[in-house]
Amino acid sequence: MGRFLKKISTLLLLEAAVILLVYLSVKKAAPPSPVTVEINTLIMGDSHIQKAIDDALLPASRNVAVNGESLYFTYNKLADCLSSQNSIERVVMGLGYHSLSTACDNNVDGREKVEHDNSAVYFNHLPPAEMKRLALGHLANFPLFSAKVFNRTLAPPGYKDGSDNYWGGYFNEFGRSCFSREKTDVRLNFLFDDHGRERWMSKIQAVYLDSIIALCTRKNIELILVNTPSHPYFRRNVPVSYREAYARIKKDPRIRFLDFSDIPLDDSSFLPDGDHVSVKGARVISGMLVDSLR
Amino acid sequence: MLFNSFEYWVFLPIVFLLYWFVFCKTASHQNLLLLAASYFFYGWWSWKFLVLLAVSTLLDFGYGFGVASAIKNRSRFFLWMSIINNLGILAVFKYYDFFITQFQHGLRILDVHISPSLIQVALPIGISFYTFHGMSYVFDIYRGLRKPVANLADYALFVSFFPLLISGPIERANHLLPQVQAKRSFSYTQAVDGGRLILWGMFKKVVIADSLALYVNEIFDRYPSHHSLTLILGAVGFSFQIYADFSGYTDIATGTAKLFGFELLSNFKFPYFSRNLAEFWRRWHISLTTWFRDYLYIPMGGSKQGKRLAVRNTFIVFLISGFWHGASWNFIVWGGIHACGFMPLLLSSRNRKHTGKIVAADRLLPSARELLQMLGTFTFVTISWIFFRLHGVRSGVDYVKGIFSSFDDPGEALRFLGILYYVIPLILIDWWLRRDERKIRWVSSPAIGWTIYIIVLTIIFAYMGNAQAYRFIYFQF
Repeated sequence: MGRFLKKISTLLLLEAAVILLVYLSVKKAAPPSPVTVEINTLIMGDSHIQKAIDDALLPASRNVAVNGESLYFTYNKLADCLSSQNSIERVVMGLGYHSLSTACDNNVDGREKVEHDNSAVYFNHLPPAEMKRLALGHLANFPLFSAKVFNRTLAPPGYKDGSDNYWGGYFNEFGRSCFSREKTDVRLNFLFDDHGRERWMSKIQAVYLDSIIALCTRKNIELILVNTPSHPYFRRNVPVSYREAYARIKKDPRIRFLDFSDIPLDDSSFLPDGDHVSVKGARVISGMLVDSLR
Repeated sequence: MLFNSFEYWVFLPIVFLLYWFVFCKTASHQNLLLLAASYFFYGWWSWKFLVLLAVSTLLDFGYGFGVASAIKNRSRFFLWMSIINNLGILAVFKYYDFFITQFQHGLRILDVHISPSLIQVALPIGISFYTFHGMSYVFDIYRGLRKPVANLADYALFVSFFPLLISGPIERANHLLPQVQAKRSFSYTQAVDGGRLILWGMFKKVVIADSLALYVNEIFDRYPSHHSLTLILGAVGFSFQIYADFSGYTDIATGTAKLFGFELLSNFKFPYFSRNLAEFWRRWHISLTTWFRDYLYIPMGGSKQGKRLAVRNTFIVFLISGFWHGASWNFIVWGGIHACGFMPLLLSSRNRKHTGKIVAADRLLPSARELLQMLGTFTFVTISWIFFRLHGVRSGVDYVKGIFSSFDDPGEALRFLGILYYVIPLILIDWWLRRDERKIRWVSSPAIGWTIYIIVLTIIFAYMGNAQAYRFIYFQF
């Protein structure tokens, strides 16, 4: 028994040391940022803009949006990019009605169900104080959180790799798709309903939206907020309070605003949830964005 | 508590240390600890259903005495009570809603409309397994194969031993109870073998099955929009996903039991190396197949009373086996497909072929003929898995049709080629291990051995943090 326990303990200690070593060395050897000196336009945000804007159509631009990215992470990513690159002149950022909901908060502080929490994707890129905040926020699930950080550092092959890494990028797997009222109801429920009551608007999102605006103003970078198209059925069911709050943001004189939310698109231009565009919709919206920025 | 969760990896060492250091004096001390641990393990998921487990255990424990002590006719009465009791639990918790809905649909055809209430409770995890444990115990006493157990704790542990409580293997009283009743002593070799099995099981579950699930779910969830090649990849991917998932679970269960000094029954013997469907069923979910053989097929007359009855019995067993998996028509169709595939073998008396060694047991590679036989069996099994995976028979038919008719955009399949990245290594490793599923063949050099441990553990840790962690597929049954 003693021999067995000794071997197991030695193995686990060795394993912990190896994991730490692998983590540190892979982290150190991480490929350089794709936001190079040629890039002057950053496209940022979550899945809405990630699926909507094909950066190949916009010269000197790079889509770094990631599925499920909250504004807290967008702010930190922007600060990260600006600290290493001063060629950025313009930031195009997705901001929809959904961005105001507390549904976007949960993976900042570990309250999200672990399997849906994408905060590990950002961990290595955060400043030390934010790393600590994230680690403490995930204390209850620390083993799994650390496995996720390790996983994202190594980025082993996995189907969603293209959309689930820090630098994100245009990624739209919905070649054939169609709006569905049923799926849109699920989406609306997730975003705006909290057990039968209207979901609170997010304070974290509001704080970091303000921080992003302030950062761009300070660095003299043009900030363009984009509301990507949503299906008329979806828009009709967005709560009035959210629409009013959104209208207030639009009036901020420091921001240029491009509202594509109500451009007429057919059902096949949307994902079933009515809140994202399909490849077909992305072609339209990318073209419109290029025209608007010319 | 899932075997691939971190809670389990806190729970297991605590129980292990208590078992060998604190509760090690007598078999009853060991059993009481394992029983408490098993109830804690089950209660972690739902303490309410512990009552069901306890009641089912108590009843079968009592029926065991009834069967043993009664005269012949009374003995049969207690056997039937046990069957009714266990099948009753299954009928209420697993099949009630299905039967009621089917009844409602049947009446609708006759233009009679009713709105019966459904119970809609979550299916108690492991219910299909522990009820089968109980029935096999009473059956064996009825057939005179064993005497009832005097100690309730021993019997309760046989039914609820945590490594096999959720998804088997379905143990036999004659195999497990003698081990329960004897005091276990620590064996270094057995513990190391157990550790290796756990490691290999975790690798199959976390690295292979869960990674394949990412591709497979994407393909099956949107199968009407995928190309023929993608659909083929999806079906192959699911064949290996369910195999890695369930055999991975079994390896972890078997390895865990070894850590406590128990040997469980074999459940998988490299089924995808089978040369015909009969061999496949001798290698896939063996504990269930043999359960149905011993407690259903043979009591119905088996194949000893002529071909006609053998055909009938085979169909019954396969259909019930399909239905055992879930209250849905697709599982029944899946069983039916296997019954149909089995018929040519049964009618030509070739179902007892390949009962011995595994293919190419004494050679490095199979012959061309064997390779074709394995490919043929695998193709049949893979097509049947499509019906198992998709809810609704119509969807299964559409998926198979899609394989032969969706030829636009073949490049799309490239996105799913990653499936092969997981399937090919699994085939190669299985081929290497194929002579003994219980013994992970090991290298003689300790340095190389330790290096492999470290690499495998590191890969498991990295994949544990993958985007999704999935429950074991067989937990739903």
